[in-house]
Amino acid sequence: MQRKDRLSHGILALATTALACILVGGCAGETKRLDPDALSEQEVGTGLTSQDFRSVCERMARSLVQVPQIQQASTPPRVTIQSVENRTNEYIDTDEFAHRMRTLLVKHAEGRVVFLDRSFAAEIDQENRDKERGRLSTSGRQEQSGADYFLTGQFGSIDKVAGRGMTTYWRLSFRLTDAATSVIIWEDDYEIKKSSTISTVYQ
Amino acid sequence: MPSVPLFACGRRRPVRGGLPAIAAASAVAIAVSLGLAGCGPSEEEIRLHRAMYEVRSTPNPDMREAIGTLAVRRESDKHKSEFVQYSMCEITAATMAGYYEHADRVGKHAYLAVQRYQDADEETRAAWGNEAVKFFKGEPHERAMLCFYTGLMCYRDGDYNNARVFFAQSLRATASRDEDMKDHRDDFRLGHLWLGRAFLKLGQRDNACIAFRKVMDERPLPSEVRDFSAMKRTRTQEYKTQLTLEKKCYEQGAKGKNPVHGIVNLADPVQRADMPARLPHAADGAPTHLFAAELSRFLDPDFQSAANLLLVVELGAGPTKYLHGASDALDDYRRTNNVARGVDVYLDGFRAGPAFCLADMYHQAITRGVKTRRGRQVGKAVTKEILRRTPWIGGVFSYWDIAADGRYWPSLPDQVAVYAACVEPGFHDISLKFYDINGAYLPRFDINRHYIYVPEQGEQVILLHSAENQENAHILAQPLAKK
Repeated sequence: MQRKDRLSHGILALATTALACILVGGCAGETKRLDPDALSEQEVGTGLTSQDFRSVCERMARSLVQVPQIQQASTPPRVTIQSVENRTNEYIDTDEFAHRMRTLLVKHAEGRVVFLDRSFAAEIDQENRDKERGRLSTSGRQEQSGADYFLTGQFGSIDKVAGRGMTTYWRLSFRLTDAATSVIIWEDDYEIKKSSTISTVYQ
Repeated sequence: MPSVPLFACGRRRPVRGGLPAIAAASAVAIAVSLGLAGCGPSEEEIRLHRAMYEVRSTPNPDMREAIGTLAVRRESDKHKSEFVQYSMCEITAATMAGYYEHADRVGKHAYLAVQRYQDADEETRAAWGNEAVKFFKGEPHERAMLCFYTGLMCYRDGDYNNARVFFAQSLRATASRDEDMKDHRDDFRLGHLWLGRAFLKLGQRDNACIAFRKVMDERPLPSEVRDFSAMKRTRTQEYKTQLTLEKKCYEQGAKGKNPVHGIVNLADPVQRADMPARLPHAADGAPTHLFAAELSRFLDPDFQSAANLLLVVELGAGPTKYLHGASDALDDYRRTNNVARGVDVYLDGFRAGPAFCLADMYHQAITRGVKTRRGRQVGKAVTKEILRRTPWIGGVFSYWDIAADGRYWPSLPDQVAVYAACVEPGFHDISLKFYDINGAYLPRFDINRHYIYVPEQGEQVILLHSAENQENAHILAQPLAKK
């Protein structure tokens, strides 16, 4: 009889613990890893999403590498990234798009194009000066390379908001400009149109 | 009073007072005191109240404390739903205190939260029950002001493209007004003006001209026009009383027991038109090359291009949101009684034109559009009242919480006026003179700022706010300090 009581008490304690765990577990926050291409619930409205970002960059990088001036060049052309102009009504870090394209081209273009890092221009100048003075050892050239092409772009949008509904048409264009002649040797764009309605509780 | 024995000998008499009654009364008193003490606001709550509701009404509030209190609240997981509300109040405190970088950072975070946060479950629960359970994003005019302040911070910083983005977003926010106010979707004139200025800076003159034209389009509601007339009448009476009190104050100060040397008489009525063209301590010459006396002149793109001194003057405290109706199911706004409703600018002691009122927060609040919201709120209230009266199950439904969302941005200004002028580069003294709705001068609202630098290239943008006794608060504080 006593053993039965002890057993039932044990089961009760176990059940209570399990219930408490479930309740506490239900209240706890959650973190999960997502596929970058998947649409997450946090991506709302007519703004650009991470999926748009990846699609645009991949398509543009693929298009850029097909340009004859890059494909048929005897030595890989040198490219610098210029600031991408944001003419939309959204607050976006546009330069990140060009940086992503650079990453993709460096990874997959098998050296057919070379990028110049101008973000360290001052530091590189200082390094070269120190090498010239003999303060630092050197193993070759001591001047910064000039660019053959500028990679830049322009984002534009047309948007309309009326009451709960909003629509945005996006045009994201990129171009490669000859640094010597200012001739545009490549340009491509990506268009997106999105519509969205805001929740009635926010109106 | 005859004493009543606690225990009578012989026959037991009913006890009607005495020790048990005293003990019971004491116990109740202690319980009530403990209860009251327990219900009183904590120091943190008092600080939070000051930071949210009193920064505009106090002459010289402690802004650092306000920013600190709001920053802690904003980052607290417990108050996640109010992240945007605390951020909005923090922006007010930071801009008033001159911490523009802080306001910029907080504004951008809050803007992104408004744009990106979505929780369908919360929204559904808010639609069926208490509307305050949802993540706070503010009303259209609050979202517009959030974008306006963030844009202004970018503009001050020379980041004109992002300023353009945020000013455009402020207009998008007001465009989301409900169908019943669709005529007011494009009447956020403050946003249009600054969007125009950002376009000018970016070299897009055509777009700037369109934006400036839209600033001319003022659309008051018929009820506002009626209210305006009533406010003028009320203010006339108030002004008379105010002058009487100022006179008594002066007499007491000049001839009382402890006369104050050099006390100023503020009892003389002065109208805006009678204000002097030159103040007593004016410089030798007026520093202003160009200023605008009329709105049409002010909005001339050539004038706007030439202007190198811009003042954003915030007047009074914004409207108050309140809940009413059965179970507090409805929400509405009421105007806060603000005296200062017009402002003139003096530069180096010379009268240099008015600042133009381009945003009335009460107008913006009452034109938010409530068609969808009222349908939902009234539907819930009627359903609850019917179900509450149903036999047997009615009691359950009396616990159904259908209150509207009473959260709002309490530290918004009542009106925002903008002044622009083309002045000689260098240091200048700025004096602001405020007027009531009837154009009567309000000397207690005077603001004076010295050594305001206008650069050779570029421009100077300054934010100022009206508050009664802001300039002589130290005099008022002296008796307190002596105590």
